[in-house]
Amino acid sequence: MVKFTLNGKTVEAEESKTILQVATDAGIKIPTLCYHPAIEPYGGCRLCIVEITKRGRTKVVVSCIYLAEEGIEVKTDTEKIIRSRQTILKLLLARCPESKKLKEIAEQLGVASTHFRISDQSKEKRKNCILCGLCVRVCNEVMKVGAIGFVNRGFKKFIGTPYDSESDACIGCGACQIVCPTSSVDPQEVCEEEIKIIPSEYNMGLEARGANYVPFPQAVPKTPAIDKKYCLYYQSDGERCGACEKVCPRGAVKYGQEDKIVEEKIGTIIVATGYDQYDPIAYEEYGYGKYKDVITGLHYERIVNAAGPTGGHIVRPSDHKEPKKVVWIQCVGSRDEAKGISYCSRFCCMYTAKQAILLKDHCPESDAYVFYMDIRAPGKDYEEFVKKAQEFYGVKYIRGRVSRIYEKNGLLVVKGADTLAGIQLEIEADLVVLASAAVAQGDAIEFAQKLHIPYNADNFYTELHPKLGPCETVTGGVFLAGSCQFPKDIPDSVAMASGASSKAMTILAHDELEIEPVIAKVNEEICSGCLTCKDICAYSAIAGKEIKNRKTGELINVVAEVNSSLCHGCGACTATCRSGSIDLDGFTNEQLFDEIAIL
Amino acid sequence: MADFEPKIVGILCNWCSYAGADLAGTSRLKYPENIRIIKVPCSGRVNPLFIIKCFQQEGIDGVLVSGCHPGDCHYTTGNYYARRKFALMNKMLDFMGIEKGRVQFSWVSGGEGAKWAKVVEKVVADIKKLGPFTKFK
Repeated sequence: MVKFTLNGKTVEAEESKTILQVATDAGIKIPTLCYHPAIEPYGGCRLCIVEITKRGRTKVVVSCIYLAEEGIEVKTDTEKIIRSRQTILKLLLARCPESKKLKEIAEQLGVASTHFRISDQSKEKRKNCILCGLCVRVCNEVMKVGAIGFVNRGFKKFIGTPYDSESDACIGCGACQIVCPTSSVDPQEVCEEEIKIIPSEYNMGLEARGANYVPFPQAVPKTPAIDKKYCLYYQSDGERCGACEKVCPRGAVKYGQEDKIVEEKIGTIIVATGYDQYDPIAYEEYGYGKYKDVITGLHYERIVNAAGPTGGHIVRPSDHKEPKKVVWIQCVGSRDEAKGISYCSRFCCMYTAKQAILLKDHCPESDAYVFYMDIRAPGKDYEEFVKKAQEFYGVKYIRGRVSRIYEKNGLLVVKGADTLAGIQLEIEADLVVLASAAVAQGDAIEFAQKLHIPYNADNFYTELHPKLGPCETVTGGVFLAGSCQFPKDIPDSVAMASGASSKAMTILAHDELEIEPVIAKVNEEICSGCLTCKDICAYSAIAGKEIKNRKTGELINVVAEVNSSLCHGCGACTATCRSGSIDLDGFTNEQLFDEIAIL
Repeated sequence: MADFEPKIVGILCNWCSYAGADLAGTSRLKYPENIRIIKVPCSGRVNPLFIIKCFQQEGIDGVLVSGCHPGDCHYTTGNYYARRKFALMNKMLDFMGIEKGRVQFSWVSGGEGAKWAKVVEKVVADIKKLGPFTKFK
């Protein structure tokens, strides 16, 4: 550790740290373009210069490569430094007058214009390139590829591939694009193959995500996860990249970590696994998957979200233009026994009305059309909400189905019927939103089998009783909440979750557990002690019990004994017992024989 | 023979088949009324003697045992034991002279009301073909 003064304050730092790192940690901003924490510093752009005083002598150094030293005095914002930075920036601006990033820094440094001769950039391939070499170094040092480098010297210098042709060495990782301070690199210009993005699952593939990413904004814990399938470090067995480990200031990224199975003892389980969206690709007439502008309600939900990929601006996925006419089609898959599912997905009518209202709010000039079968708005203020969409916002509701959607001159022609007016319609829409059905999760059955809870023909989990036990399941201690039981809107899901959690807590709040009186019992007098029942018991509720002579302590016999708190009362042991010495209270052999006898 | 209405005993597990039969009822599904249902906690509870006992009983012509689908047992493994037991029992029934089809087994889950109705229809039709059971009586 070394001590030195930074802008008048004494700071302590490790010897291996540069002044730039120490200043950044201390919250002092030093402008820089060519510094990236994952790459060895290089001092390319010279913007990060600071003034140091060492043994009474003052000099200007580049802070990204100058290591912390005992007793020096560092000043980051003297007049001389600011003037020098302004000059450096003016030189950079003379080279790249169009760069957004440079203009941004110019504003911060109070640089209005450059008095140097502005270079002719018309022939340059990468107009905003300041030749800092960050992309070259990331490609070489971090990604171990070396597909790009500096070409020529002096004024003719530029960054490119050998012979400036598309490279077969480029792996299309896009690291050069990520590190470029002035956004002047397009890896597709360099790479021979088509660069594939990783589609963000949360944003319905409307946006790319990194291999190291937070799965969704509300994730708990909100920590990034590495997707080994895409991560270049894992894909190259540790040869390439490893940037996230270098960048993380907490040292939280450890590549050696393995997935592990954590075992916890828990009292109750609430199943809230939700639903999945029906894939409307089965409805070929709507052209989902074929036309980019035919999307599902979930896609639209991401587009309209302020935190989504478009920042809440409603645009078509194909050309990012605001749509003028949007058509919603309800009941895609729902209530269609022939092709889709037989039930009503319950919340699509309401979200369609909401989405149409949002369109009118965002783009008041646009037209919204909704094709519906029936409007199902059973809930508090729901009917009024749909009425508001129709009357106040002027969303045009058309009762009828759509027969076909096809593309014509960049627009989607929606052919449908208006069954109330008894006419055929053709709407030239920019965007079509399908209110796709809600279906059970793909692994719903597998999961139900793990928990021993029943499910219905549509793979939704079955409650204990449709009226009297809507949150419980037949398995004690397992509760249901939300759409895993059946499609539900938000208020219903919240109400059910409150019910389920209260029920779950009630069990845990008691010192004693109430159980069904249906329990196996052993007639010790005739039990031979073969303990076949012990092997058959799924709950390990049966064990051997030694019967001893009370006086002498001599072992007389071993008999089966039922642990009544473990026994679930299935009766498998009774049907197995050869001597008929084990019986099930509530369903005794005698009772069952009598039941048969009266038939 | 044409108007022979068999009497069939249905031994149903509480969690799947009984719930399925219940669902058939609440869904207002129609199925033959020839079946009398006895509820047991699990198909694993069914002692083969219950089935023999049914045939000793005057007027009973067939038995249907129904439980949860394999893998879905409320008690984890009960229906697997039942399946093994009945595989052996089928041979014994044959030896005892009880025709194939008089004793039937099925897996009906709590959500399969319609399947339950179908199973009963099939069992009743099969036993109608076999006629009244008179051997032990």
